[in-house]
Amino acid sequence: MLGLAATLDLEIEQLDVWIVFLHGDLEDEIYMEQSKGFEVKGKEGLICCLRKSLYGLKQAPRQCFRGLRTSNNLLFSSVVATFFRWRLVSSIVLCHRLFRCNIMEHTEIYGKRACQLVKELASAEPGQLTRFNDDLFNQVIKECNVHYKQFYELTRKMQEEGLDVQSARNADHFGMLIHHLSLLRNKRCLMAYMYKRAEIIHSLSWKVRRILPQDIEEKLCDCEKRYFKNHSSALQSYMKEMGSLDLTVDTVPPKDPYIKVRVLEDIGVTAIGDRDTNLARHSIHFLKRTDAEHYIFQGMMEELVG
Amino acid sequence: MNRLLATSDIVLLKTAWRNEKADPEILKFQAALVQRSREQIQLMEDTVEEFKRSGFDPLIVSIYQMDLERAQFLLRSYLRIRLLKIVNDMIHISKTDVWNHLSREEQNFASRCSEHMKNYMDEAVLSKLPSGYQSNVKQSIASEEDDMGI
Repeated sequence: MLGLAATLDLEIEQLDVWIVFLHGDLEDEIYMEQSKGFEVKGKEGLICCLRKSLYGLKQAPRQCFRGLRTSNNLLFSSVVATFFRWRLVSSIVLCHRLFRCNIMEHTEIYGKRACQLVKELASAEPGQLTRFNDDLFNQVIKECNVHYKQFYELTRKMQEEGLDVQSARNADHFGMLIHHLSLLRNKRCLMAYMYKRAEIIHSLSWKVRRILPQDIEEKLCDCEKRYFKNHSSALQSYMKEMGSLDLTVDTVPPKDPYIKVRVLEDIGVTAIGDRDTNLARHSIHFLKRTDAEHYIFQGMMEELVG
Repeated sequence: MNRLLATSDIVLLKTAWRNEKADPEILKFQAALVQRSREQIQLMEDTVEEFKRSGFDPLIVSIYQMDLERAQFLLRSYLRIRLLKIVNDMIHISKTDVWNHLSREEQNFASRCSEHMKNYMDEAVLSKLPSGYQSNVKQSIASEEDDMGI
């Protein structure tokens, strides 16, 4: 933020927001009992009518925000920015002293949903897919479109006022900038979400030929299922072009050419090498590692070690 | 027969594999070495099969078998590491000189992967965003250069 201010020749103001909450005026009538130890002598039976917000009051954030929003002072606008803990806004808003920023038409935290989406990725087990969060994803898309609509309206407003959208520096200009930057941030989060999931899909296509295990397929959206199919088939095409060289097997350096496996699910009579083998449930076989690898990954066989 | 693959070739393959593993960038494809290795692996597979059928000493057959499998692993792993690098770095590889380090088959693979990834992103995200924000390489039409970072 300091770097941005230095580059764009902006001024920075710094303030403490711990007690901001307590400056919000209350619109509704709220009463409370006198707190223990703080009763007025002789008036213990009376109650207090609150004038300013208290920390812990559920209206406190809204009242604080209303007070700040209607204020003409940019200092307060910047308090709004830091209050919502959104660094991008604060860096733009903590700028030109003379202007207010026309952005806060919604009392929502911009970028919160996109942040949740990305956090979901971070909190999952490495290499494991979570169920595709259709709902949250669509909410972020919707937020992007709202930003664009507001951006467009501000553009039109500036043009109607005869201002040059590129060079005029008024509150509307900064409002447009914030909508634009918020949209970009949401876009980056959405693409990161899809890209990270695609990386897991890549690793799956090495282990699974063309058909995904059902528990994994349930977690994918339709786009991802199509992507898996396409990526798998690109891999298969490469292997075919290389003279049918199977690169999905032999993924660990060979220690023993044959491994001992127990069959976990009834696979039936299968051609293994040059023989037909009956892979019945609970049967134990000595198979080449390359023949057994796919079954082991799908959970149909397990390697017996020792 | 001391080794299945000619000593120089297995050493070269191991070196190429090790280099590929260590370098984050994809190196020049060792076309001749890969071709020779494949031919020799095929030849030795046939020889080992022949030995098994003719009742050669099973211990010696299994030793040759292991040697063969090590060579196969090296070759597969070499090709696999390259493919993984291609998949992770599609855009960079297709836009710079690194493209010439790829074999013809790898270039086909890289083109297909890029196309699939682009379609995937378009379908999942970009087509739903407002116009001006639909590029997969630029954040928006206001960007001067490719700044999406994928």
